[in-house]
Amino acid sequence: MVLNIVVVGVGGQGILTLSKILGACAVEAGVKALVAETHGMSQRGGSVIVHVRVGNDVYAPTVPLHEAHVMVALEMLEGARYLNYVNPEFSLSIVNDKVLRPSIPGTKVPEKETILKAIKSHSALTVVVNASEEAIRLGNPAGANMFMLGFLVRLLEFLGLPMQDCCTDKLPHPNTDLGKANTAIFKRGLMEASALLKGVKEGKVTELPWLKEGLLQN
Amino acid sequence: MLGNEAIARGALEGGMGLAAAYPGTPSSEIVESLLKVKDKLGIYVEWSVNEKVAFEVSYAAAISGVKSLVAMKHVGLNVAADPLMSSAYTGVRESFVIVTADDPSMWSSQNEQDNRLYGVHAYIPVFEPSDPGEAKELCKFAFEFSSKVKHPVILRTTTRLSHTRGPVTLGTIPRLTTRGEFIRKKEYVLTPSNARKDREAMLTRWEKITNEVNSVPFNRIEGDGRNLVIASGIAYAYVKETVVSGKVGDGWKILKLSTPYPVPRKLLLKALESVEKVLIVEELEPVVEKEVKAILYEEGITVELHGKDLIGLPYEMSHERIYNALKLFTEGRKPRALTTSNAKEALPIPPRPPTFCPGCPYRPLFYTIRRYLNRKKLSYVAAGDIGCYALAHNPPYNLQDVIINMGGSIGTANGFAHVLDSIILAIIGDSTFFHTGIPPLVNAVWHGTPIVVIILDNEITAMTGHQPSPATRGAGATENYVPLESVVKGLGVNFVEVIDPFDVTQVEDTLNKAIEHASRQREPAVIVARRKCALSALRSLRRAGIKLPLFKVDLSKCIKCGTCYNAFACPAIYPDKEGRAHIDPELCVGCGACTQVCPVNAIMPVDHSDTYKLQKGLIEKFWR
Repeated sequence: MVLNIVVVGVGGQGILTLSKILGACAVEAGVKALVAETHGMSQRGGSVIVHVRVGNDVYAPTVPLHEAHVMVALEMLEGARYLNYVNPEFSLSIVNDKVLRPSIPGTKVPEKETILKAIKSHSALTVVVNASEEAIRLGNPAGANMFMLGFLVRLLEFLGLPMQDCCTDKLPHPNTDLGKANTAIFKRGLMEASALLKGVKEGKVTELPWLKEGLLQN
Repeated sequence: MLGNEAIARGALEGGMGLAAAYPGTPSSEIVESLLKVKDKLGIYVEWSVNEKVAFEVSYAAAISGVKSLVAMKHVGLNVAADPLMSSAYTGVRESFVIVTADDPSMWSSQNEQDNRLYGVHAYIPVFEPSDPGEAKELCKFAFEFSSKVKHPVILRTTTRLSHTRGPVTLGTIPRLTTRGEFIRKKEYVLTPSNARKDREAMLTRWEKITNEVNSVPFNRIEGDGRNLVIASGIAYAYVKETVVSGKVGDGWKILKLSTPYPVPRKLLLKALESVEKVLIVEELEPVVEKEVKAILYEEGITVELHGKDLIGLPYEMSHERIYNALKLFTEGRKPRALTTSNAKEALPIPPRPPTFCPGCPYRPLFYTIRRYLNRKKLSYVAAGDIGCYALAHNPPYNLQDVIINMGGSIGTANGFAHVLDSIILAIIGDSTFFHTGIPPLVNAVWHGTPIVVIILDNEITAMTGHQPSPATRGAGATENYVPLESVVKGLGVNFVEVIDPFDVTQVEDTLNKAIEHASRQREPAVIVARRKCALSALRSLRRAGIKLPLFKVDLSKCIKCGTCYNAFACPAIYPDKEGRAHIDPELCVGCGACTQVCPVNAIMPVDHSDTYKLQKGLIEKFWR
């Protein structure tokens, strides 16, 4: 089994930080993981995709088209841009309720509802989360990535990889106000995923056939 | 561990005592991670001024008996190609590992040249790992190999390997030798008569090397079947995963290669036993393919052979390319798409090219230059260079008409000035200027060439991840600092002015003066625009625990002109449906540059009490 995750968004949203912690903690939980990053331009406001692959049968760093189990979109337009990685039969799209306008003169951005409709039509299940809003509320305006990290960690724990402690230790800016905010935002992400997993356990969420307890356990 | 970190670790386990590099994506993290441990281990590690110098620093260590590494991106090896060729002639006394990080698909480069061909060109063996874990082992092995054959070796990595994190098993780091001894030998003095002898000695070493690669443990035959796939480097990872997945049936034999050049002949012949068809999979150029074809001809073997005809030439490997090629190979026809997503709702997504960060000193600079050129209706050519500022080529600034290579801005400006009647601007960053910008500026002084050179001095090599440049002041870099204006004056430039790019009036006035000076005096004029890279300034501010001010738009004043979000184009400013500007608190870094461009002064700090004024003065120190 290989769990394929793509994390997409805009350079500067902390996508590398999120993916780095996720990959490292998956390895510490005893499973093979590869994280393929985009560098150079990635902090310069461009479109960014990071591939995270977890499972002992993984060899190649990138996710095959239409084979992402999970897409995490820190920004909606970017979520819509990378829909060729998701699959309407099994993909879970976790979308931050945030649209960032590309700063090119005269750019027309589609309506939020239109973007969301496109994402929904390509995914088996789409969950919209207020990661940015929560991050601002909890004290780190640039902390939406911590929310998404929390969401993914709870998901991977459900699949059998204990990694919450490892991640908590690795959150950026420890022992500062920013670090405290990060922990709080991370926990909000965990909670949000718990709500989804409750639905799975109760048999109410049936769109994700791969989302089974202990799937990634050795 | 990141692939590049794994390479650094492998070098230490291989006994490396010295490393040098010039930063370049995707190679930068190799020496970056070595710098972090240099004091602890007592080794010498430096960012050099360019790849040629880095190469020579590292080469000198190797011929003095200190195991060394030099790292660079693929195009960096073009800069270092001169000493590269010579190093194969002289050979080395101790390990010399040349890491070239190639960039298939050009994620962050001007081309996707395949540097395995430098191995062919220079008679240097090439090693190529398939994942981060192997990169560590292979780098360590490359040190042993180089030491054994007394010859430089190339370790070729690619973006997907350098920038992929994966599990790496750590070994032990031996005692590292950092002091050498130089033994005088004619071999190191490449006068024609010595070089001829070196050439012959090199060919003898090469014979030994072509034999040695047969016993490199990273080359191996896997599985058994009538179909043989020869896969080199990261292509192996894709082939392996596709074969293991069972999507392409069974009966596959794989020859995994970690030495694409020279190809291990004996191992290849063994792999070919009872094989009907061969497919060669490698990224970019058909290096292994041509080698294998030559060997088959020499050995008199006829077998059906495919490679680039099924895989295709440009860009990085993908699951889809491998799957399609393997299907074509076995079934002779293209397969149907792996999964058919019922592509509903095809939404046109506006492009999002990278852009200047909020707070970037280059935004007000390019905004002002653009406005100045438009207003004056000047005919101009803007010769650009390699760095973040290349992004000014994009709208709304449209400022950089030629970008070809490091230092190319001033070089091509020299030529344009002699054949065009336009104003010639050369735009170059501090690190790039020190890299290869100095000789063409000397050329302009020497020949009295009227050009205006704008050196963007953010005191750091920004695009590649904030490595220090000779222009970096203060902690974090070496203590020494080379002021750009002194260098430029020393070269004989008479017009040199240092400006703050955040001061739009100063930018415009100075540009005007420089253009007049260059045209009247028929000589180059240089403007140094100095303000720290926003990312590094913000990092220091964050470390100091200073809260950044937020800015807002007074909506009652906003006239919906769009100057701030269309012409100035800060990503933190966006229009609402009516066209009024808003500032996104998630993106705003409180630099305040936008307050200057609003024609009705509608942009202001959220908190403009006295505390803000005090804080502003304090914050400004971090930017200057």
